Amino acid sequence: MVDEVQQEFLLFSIGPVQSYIGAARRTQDLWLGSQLLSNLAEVGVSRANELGTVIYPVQVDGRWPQSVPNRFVVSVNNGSGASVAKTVTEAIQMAWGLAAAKVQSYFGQLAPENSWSLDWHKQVTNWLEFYWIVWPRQGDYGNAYRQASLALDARKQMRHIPMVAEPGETCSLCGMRKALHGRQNGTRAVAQFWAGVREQPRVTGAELRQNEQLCAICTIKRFAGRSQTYIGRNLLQPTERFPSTSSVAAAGFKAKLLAAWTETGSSVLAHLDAIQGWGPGAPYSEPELSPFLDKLVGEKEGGKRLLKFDGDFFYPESFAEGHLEELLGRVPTIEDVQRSRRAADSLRRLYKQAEQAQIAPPSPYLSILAMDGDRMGRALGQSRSLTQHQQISNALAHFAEEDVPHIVQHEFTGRVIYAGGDDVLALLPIEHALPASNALRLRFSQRMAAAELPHLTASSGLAFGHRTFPLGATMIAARRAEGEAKSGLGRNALAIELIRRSGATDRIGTKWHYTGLENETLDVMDELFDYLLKGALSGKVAYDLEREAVALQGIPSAQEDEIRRLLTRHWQEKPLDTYKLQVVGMATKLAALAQPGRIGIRRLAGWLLLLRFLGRGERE
Amino acid sequence: MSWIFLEADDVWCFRDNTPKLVGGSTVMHSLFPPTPSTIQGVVRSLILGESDVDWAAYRQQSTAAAQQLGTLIGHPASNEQEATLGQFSMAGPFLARREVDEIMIYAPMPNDVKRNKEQMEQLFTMQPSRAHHFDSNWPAEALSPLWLNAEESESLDGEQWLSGRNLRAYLQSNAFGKLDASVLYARESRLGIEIDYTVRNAAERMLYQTEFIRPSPGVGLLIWVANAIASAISDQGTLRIGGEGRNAYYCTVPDTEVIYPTRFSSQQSTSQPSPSRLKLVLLTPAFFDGGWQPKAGDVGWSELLGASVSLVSASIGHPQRAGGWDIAARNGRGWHKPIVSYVPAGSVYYFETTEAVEPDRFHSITQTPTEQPLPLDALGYGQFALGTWEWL
Repeated sequence: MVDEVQQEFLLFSIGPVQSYIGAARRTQDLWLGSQLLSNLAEVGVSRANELGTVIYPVQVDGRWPQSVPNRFVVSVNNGSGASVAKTVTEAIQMAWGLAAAKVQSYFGQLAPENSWSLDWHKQVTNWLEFYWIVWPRQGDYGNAYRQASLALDARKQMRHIPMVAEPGETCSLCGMRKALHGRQNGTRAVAQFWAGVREQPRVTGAELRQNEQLCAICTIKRFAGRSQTYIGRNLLQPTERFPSTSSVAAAGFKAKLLAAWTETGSSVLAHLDAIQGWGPGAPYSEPELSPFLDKLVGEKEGGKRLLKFDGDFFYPESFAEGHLEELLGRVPTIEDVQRSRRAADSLRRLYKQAEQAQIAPPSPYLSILAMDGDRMGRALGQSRSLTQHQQISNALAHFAEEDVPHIVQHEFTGRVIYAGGDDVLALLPIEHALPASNALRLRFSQRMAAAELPHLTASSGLAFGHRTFPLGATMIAARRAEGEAKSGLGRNALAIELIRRSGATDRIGTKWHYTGLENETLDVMDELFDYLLKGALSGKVAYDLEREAVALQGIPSAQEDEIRRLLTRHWQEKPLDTYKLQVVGMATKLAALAQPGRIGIRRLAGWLLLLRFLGRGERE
Repeated sequence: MSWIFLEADDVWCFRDNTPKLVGGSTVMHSLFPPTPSTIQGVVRSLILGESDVDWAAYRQQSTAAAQQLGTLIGHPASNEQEATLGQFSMAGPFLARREVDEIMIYAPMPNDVKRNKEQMEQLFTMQPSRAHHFDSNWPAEALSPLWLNAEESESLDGEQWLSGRNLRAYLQSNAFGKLDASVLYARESRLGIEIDYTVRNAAERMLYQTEFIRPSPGVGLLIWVANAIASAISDQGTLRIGGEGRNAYYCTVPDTEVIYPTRFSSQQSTSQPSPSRLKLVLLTPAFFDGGWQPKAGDVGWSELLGASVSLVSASIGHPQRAGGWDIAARNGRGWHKPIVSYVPAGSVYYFETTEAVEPDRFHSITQTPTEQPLPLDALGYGQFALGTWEWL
């Protein structure tokens, strides 16, 4: 039993987080970066739990969450906070040191000439950042915690700046440190060093691409999975079967194929036969980890096989001669070129059969979702006791451990990168992005209400990016959108950035719900999207509204009439009188959203353009 | 004293250290303002270009004219000699804007400024607090935390700037306003595609996006240069700057037309106020051999500031990593500049002192990494403004 009179708070934070996770070229980089930091944090909370009571995060079913947040809160005996902090720091540093040494040993087998060891040691030693404070738990619990949070913010004002001055070729993944090299550090010598690593039989294209040259930190990110590296008790998982960007983008397409297997199965299997054994991901030894798709597979003959093929093989441009080397992970032969034509043909036939089942080709875009609870600091600062604080932590833990994976991976075809407390990072095919983000924020509010925090909401940022667009840049866009949802839209909101392949970026957003409106925003958009998808409404309505929005902005009273006129004009299903109710109803709902103080007419036009994009998917 | 003001003809591009991804799409961001390293190259190249000295002779310092120029702006390293800066000295670059009869400096928002979470236009400045004492892994001894008594504050997001006048108000602990970067410049992403020269056509899927900076009308970069340097430059002209060698107009500007924060903004003169609690705000990035401060701590600071000072607190921004390419290195073959972690502009340091602190107007407080051949203090790094502070 904790004696509340003689306790103090220890708030502990590990970094760097955003810059490390964001140095990602592929989904596997995002995943392993997140996993590595989370495992280091788990080492910290485990050690802290031996010396005190961890208030946040809490264990679920006797184990720490899959994603342990990088900031944790511990209650310790008065006067012991500093020594607990130092012990926790040492535990994390030791775990990191052991992991780095393990990967170094493995990498040494790939690059035996070890003049890179000194740079490795310097980069590994300087990498982790720790910030901790100790604050007395006296008086009002919530106020004491609030002050403790301010103290940690004050400590983090004196940010760690690594004393780095490294000459030479830069790491091609993070750009923050120099790339490892052999005895010579000239441009050609460094390239040859890494070419030598790449040629090792054990090294796959997933671990090291053509012309990549990495620093020690990014080398650990790439090779930790292969090298059987533990952090604490956790083995870092090999990353080959984490879905690629193409697999995430194509997941919705695969789901529709499985749902219409009777019509599509034969052409799917014919295509898989055409590419069987051709290169990495065709197929993988294990199917893609997707509970949603698994459910759809059921007993379908050959359905499971579909999940073993990378999404790359469902885009026709992958079979273009100039892309074969990247697809196959080796220099293509004449036979490969011939096979690529057969593969392109089989894919064309698959698309045609899918079209007959009203399934559009896969969108080349995927989405990244970043979600964060609103005003969590204030809510925690109003805790009346440690017990209540732990109840909130418990609610957050269940949200992160149960709700988020269930929604993202069982109800939709996404993958969770990180879910710690109220912070979520997930990948989703674009057709599932909006409903999944809506489901997550609703569930979050429900969980918090059950923990006696009935008014807590969440804000989300969505970024849509092409599957070949740098993933780190898409993630930055998602975080930026999340920030816009909070500061630009005033929280309890969703902001979206659509990074078109043409280079233009569209930005829109909305509150989840506007006071005085009967319908939630996304429900209205869902209904509208349905009309667009079914072809009941032409997507050209979006362009017409965009063109007129500037003028309509000045005459709110005319907006509903004009929206109704445009919907009527672009309604495809006849006779129109039969659908008059739907048209009028939709116009009323859209006009309500278009009013000043809500989405506004110009942003509404942006929404229609987005929905049109989601429906058509910007096929290449 | 002379200033050079650069204005864009169209857009500029100053790549940051984001790696260009090999194969497939790439996004390259611009750093704005550019690093002092970039601008020193521009100014020295301008002088070289306006002279009659052959560039190869300049690099080798093989003629009398080249050596004379080398005495003025220094020269690159060669087999026979190390790189030098000669008499070259600059401060900046500073973001600036023409405002009627003057050119106003703009400073990045200091890192110790927060905003009200609900009323986001309301700004607060953190202050060192003696009342809030707690155990922590402080990065140095005897530091005090920065604190705010305001409820519900948060860091500002995006890029925010202070005009010279608002910077003065901030340094004097008076109310001040901010300016969003979008008023001063826009960031434009432009799509490009790699060319396959074997077929003289676009390479497939090799798209890239480069971020360009479009300064608003009247907005540009202001650089202070030593008199000897200013004398070697025409009053106005054009030059190439940054990625893709984009065009810029330049003109020299007399000091009387520039609004630049004086050393002690609490007074009209440059003498030090009393009591001596000095707040130092970086206006350009700085390098310290201890990362966020000199390794020697207060001894190091005292050396840099020319008076005995004690560091009380600090508010440091995210490290700015910069490297680049030295085109003259290795006998003209070129070589990477070292990747260095700088303390970014906007970082704030709080000192107490019992001595007069009277640095020259463009005195720099940066150190220079041993891997760096040229002294950073002469290249524009470590410029700062001084104000005062009070305990919370």
